[in-house]
Amino acid sequence: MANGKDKAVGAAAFSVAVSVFVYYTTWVLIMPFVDADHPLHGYFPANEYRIRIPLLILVVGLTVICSFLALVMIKSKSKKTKKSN
Amino acid sequence: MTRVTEVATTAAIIILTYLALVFELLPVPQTFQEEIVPVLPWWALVSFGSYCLGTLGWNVMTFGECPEAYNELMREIAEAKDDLRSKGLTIN
Repeated sequence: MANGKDKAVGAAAFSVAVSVFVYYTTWVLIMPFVDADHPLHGYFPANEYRIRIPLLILVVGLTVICSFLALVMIKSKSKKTKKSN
Repeated sequence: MTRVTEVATTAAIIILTYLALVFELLPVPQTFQEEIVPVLPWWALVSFGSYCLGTLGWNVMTFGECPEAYNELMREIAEAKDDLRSKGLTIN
């Protein structure tokens, strides 16, 4: 049953997703067309990070997923050889 | 057209359009070419991640409670437990 705590977690996840999307879209698709001396540029990091941040997240995410898969496969293999011994 | 064909065709169109933009085969304004074209795949990745997380959060938030289904499920679990106990299985 979806109690209050579950709904709060869902609401938090939803707002994080919306904020990330709005911030990143503004930074990447709108700021290039804003004059260099506009104060809005102060709210965003330097331009190289437009690609570095998603790249870093992708690399870390793939590493975590592959490490988890590797661990699970090794554990199941060692369990199988231990059983057949 | 099968589902696979449809997905593959859509993906091919998007990828070929993007490659045409990258290799400057399509005439676009200079700011667009220099600043936005390189970043489009990363934007797509971030948007996809946001969409997944947002959909999950939204569905958890608006998940309707179904008390009849809950009660029926608890009854079925109790019935199954009694049945297995009568057949000799120890269940607490």
